[in-house]
Amino acid sequence: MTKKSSKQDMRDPLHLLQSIEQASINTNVYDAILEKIDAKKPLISIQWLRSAAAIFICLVGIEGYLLSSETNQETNDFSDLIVMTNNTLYNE
Amino acid sequence: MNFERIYIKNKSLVYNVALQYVQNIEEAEEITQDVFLKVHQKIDTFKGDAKIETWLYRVTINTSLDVIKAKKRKKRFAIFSNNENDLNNSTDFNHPGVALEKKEALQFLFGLINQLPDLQKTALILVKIEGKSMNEVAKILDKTPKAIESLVQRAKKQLKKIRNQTEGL
Repeated sequence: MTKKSSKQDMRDPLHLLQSIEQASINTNVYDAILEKIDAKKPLISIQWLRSAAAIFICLVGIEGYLLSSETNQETNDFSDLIVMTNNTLYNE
Repeated sequence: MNFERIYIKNKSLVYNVALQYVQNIEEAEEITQDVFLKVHQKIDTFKGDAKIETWLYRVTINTSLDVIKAKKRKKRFAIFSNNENDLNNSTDFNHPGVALEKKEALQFLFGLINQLPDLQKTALILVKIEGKSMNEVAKILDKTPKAIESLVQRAKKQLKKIRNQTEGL
């Protein structure tokens, strides 16, 4: 019986497919979408992350600058302690 | 553009297209959620309503096909791993748009349609169930109207072939 009816319907499958009605969606779906959107939001905003990264880079830059200036000073002080030898010959 | 407005306007389109692919309420709802999450991510790039509709059709079709592929992969894995839970978890035909007296016949027909190649299946769903014109489907699938016509014809032939094979078993 089942096979017969499905055979009959297959002779005119277009008619059968056209009988499918539009279904309405459950109202809970929108809430579920909003929940998923909220769950995907980062805890810290990107703007905060950007500004924190910028401050960090600035601090590292300043630190690097200070370190390099200190090393320059140190080498200058150190050179004062070394006795400079004159490599030129006396009879020149 | 307002997300809620887009949802209200297009929820039925997305849900019903998903239903034609998976024939199951829970899965169609999951697909709808995934599609609108993608909409939310891209909301700033939308300019006009007409473009959204075509884009929504494409995203819904791709998401539905991905869900079906994942389901098939899971089933295959369940067979190998002998996982009874996954094997018994095959989703039932649960299409709210199908009238009770036609449920059996349409379940049989969808069983055949589900065996079609993705493009033929999509062309058939959009033309025969969603009632879209060849031009509209061509725009959605980024093909010519003639190509869509040929896809529908091939789908019909293939359906007959599959039906004959099924009945021969």
